[in-house]
Amino acid sequence: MEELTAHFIDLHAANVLFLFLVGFVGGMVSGFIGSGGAFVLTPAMMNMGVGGVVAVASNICHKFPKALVGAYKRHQYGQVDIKLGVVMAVAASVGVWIGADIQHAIHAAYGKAGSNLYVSSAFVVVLAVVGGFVLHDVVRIVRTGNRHSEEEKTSRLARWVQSVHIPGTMMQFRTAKVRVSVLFIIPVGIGTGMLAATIAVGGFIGVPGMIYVLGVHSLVASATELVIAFIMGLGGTIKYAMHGLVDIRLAMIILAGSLFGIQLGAIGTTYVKPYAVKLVMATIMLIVAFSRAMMIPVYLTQLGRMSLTEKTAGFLSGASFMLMVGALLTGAFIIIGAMVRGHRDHKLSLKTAEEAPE
Amino acid sequence: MKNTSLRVRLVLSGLLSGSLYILLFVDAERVLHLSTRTDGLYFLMPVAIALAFSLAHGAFTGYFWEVIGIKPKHAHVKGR
Repeated sequence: MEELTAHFIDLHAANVLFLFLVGFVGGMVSGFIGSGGAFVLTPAMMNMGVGGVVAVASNICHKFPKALVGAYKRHQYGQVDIKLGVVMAVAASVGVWIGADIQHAIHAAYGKAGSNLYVSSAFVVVLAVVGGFVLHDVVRIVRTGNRHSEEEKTSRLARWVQSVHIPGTMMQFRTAKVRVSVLFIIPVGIGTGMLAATIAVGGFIGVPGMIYVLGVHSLVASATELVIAFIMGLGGTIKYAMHGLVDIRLAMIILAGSLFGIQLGAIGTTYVKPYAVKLVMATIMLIVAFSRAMMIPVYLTQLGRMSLTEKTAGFLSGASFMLMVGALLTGAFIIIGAMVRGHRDHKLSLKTAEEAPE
Repeated sequence: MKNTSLRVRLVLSGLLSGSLYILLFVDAERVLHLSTRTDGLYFLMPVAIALAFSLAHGAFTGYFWEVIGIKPKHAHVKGR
């Protein structure tokens, strides 16, 4: 019990309200793009005084039931490919294992600051590259005037992947409407798991990977990511619970808000075009990449490779956290805006259909 | 009639969800103590709690948006 009091915090109304609200916004983003929110929740809990590992464990414990509800909801809308989700999750589990081993090795060699530097660098490199690629696609869609199209252009890479037939490895995915070799799914899944083990949001590789490498529709990819998040989250919760590290109170407070959010985000996907999913994903990824880039000088100072005053380091840490919250809020505003526009267009089309002569 | 049934479901699931939260927080220290035990099958407690809350609160939040008029448009994913 002595160890417990060192890890678990007393709850205050302000903390509860903050976690509920972050849970709600994070849930909405997850319901829409399949992941998100986790990158804000862990540092937010740590700012409240929760130990890092308890924050990660409690975050994961809220993630799997949230993903379950989101996946169920989006399955009702015909957007989830369960088979693809399970195959990806198996590969992602291997990725988590590899990612965790790399983390341990870096922590052993360079300590906490080295580990933080590695995590932030992974954030910056992966999110800037993948987010930049998604943003490039968003700009292309806008330029070609296809913003309002339900159809999506399959990337050249995905067309090639789908054209490769390796006997004994081909898998058909009915909802995703693709037939690809499992040998292409495995690296995407492993990448998803490795990112999840590093920055806690595997979906930033999983969703773009399914869209641009396998050729899966954006709405199906973001919905299928919830299956992966459920399976990985369940495994992660069991692992952390076996070490007694889950603060169930924190997890259930976040879940209270996030279940409101995930349902809203999932409903939102039925009103928007695939373009909106890509826009939200690119925006969040690039703002988060920038936010983590601000922390690199702080960790380099801790490693003795740079020199920053305490005041500057404090300013950069605060600004970086605020930018992450800003990324989540920006994503939420784009989602709400897209939903309102989609709902208005839908009502208008129903009205036009009613008024049209028989 | 349909709206009444939906509201009844909202109230029932809300009561169930609310009861679970009361049960969790009325003696949070004890629940926390039990759910962080590392012997036996106690590690399953956080998983079971999370699943129970997701069912009750998930149903409540689903009905909540429906009752206030935020419903999905019937969606089909267009093929390529």
